[in-house]
Amino acid sequence: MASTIPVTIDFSGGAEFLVKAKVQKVQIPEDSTLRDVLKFVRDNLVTDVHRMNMLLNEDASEVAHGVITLINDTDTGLLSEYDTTIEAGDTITFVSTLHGG
Amino acid sequence: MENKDWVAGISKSDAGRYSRQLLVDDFGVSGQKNLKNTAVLIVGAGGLGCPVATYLGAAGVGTLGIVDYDRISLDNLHRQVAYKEDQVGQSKSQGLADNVKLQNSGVTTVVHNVSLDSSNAMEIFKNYDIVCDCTDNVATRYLINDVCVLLNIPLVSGSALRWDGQLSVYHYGPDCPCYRCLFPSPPDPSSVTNCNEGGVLGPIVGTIGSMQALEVMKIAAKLSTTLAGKLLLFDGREGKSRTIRLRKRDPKCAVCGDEPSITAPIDYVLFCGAGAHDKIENLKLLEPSDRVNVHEYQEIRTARKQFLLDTRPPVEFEIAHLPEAINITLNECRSLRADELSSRLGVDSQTSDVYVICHRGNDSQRAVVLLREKLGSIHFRDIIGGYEEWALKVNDEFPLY
Repeated sequence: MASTIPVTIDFSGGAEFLVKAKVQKVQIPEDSTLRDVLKFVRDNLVTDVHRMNMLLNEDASEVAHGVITLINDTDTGLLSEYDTTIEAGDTITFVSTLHGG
Repeated sequence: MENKDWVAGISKSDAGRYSRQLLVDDFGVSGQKNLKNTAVLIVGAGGLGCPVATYLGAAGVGTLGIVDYDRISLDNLHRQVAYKEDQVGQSKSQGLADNVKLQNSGVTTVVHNVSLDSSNAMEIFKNYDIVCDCTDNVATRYLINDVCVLLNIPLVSGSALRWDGQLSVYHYGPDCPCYRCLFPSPPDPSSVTNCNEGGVLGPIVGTIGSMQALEVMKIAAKLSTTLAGKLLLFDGREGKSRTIRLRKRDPKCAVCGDEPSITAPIDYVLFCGAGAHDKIENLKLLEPSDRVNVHEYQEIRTARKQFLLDTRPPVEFEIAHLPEAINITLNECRSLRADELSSRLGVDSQTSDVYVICHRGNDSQRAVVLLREKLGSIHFRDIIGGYEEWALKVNDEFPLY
């Protein structure tokens, strides 16, 4: 069996309504990229599948428009975007942007 | 001896009025003078716009422009703290400008009592040095961003919903991204929740609006420690905030990139697929035979007790509901099996009619579509306009929210 690493996945700005808990500590396969994490989130964490379009696109290849992903509080746009390799202990955050005021 | 034997950096009246600000290092006399020479535009005189205008007015900003076409309503007052009960019904932009002027007569206020759109935004924005986005909808946020980039004006952008707030400064400095660099495409309108639906707490918009005013003061004072290129996330429920580093300006950005394709404001309602306001749209999913109006339902329920399914979230159900209503949320209508729905509703094989109600009459239609698939022997009908219509036409004592 492939070995796994512990990571924290964190949802904010409304994305937390689609999952069981705002902050979740999970094990993901070693050498996962952010792209793999999106599929992991779809398959294992999203409980409200009818509103999946608030978080991920149809095939979970990208986040939905209006969602930013962070690794350890850094925009993945400053890293290698979806190709960023996840390390043990990383915190991956999904931030839905707010529009109210 | 000559009467004036001192050198003053600032007038006596300003020194007296703003002394506590002048004492703050890195702000001081030069910050105060710069602020007095700055014209700031606030778009949206709501929960964010109130603290932004109040603090900037008090701090002695030179000119404060306020854009809003809306009127003050009673359900604004819990968070739009610049307004008083006797102002309900008045124009927001005028009301907010009046209150700023009462607090500090030295501020020049400009009232823009219009709905901001592609046809007027350039003309309004060009007279200002800094713009604050205090609006409530996606289309206007893209419009404000694009016009700020086209006129090279820094944008202090705040937003809030429920317990959360977000804050950033866009298009300020060569590496700083604009809103479009982060979000080249707008979100799916069906996935956007606004304060009318999701709610918001006053201190959340108060916190974010106050911080927007602070960012304006730093930009006016030419300090380098602004939130340009950063995003502040505030989680009021947990009492946590964090500031994240954002990506740099995207050279391929449609508006601030090296070869921009947007060189004038576009049609933002078309671009976003959603209106430039936070009002609720009226859906029409059902045939007339699957709908009743509130007067018809009042007659039906007076003749005989009915099955009424209420799709609202429990927090709304708790505010008020008709006594016969059974709370099964729209999400539960989706996820529950037919037998689970029947037992929650208390219906049996003899039941022929069930009515469905919600806040304003959109979710009730969605629910009817789902329910008739699962429980085909029952005729589901929605109540047109929901509890809002009920309160307006049948019983004005019903607590409207």
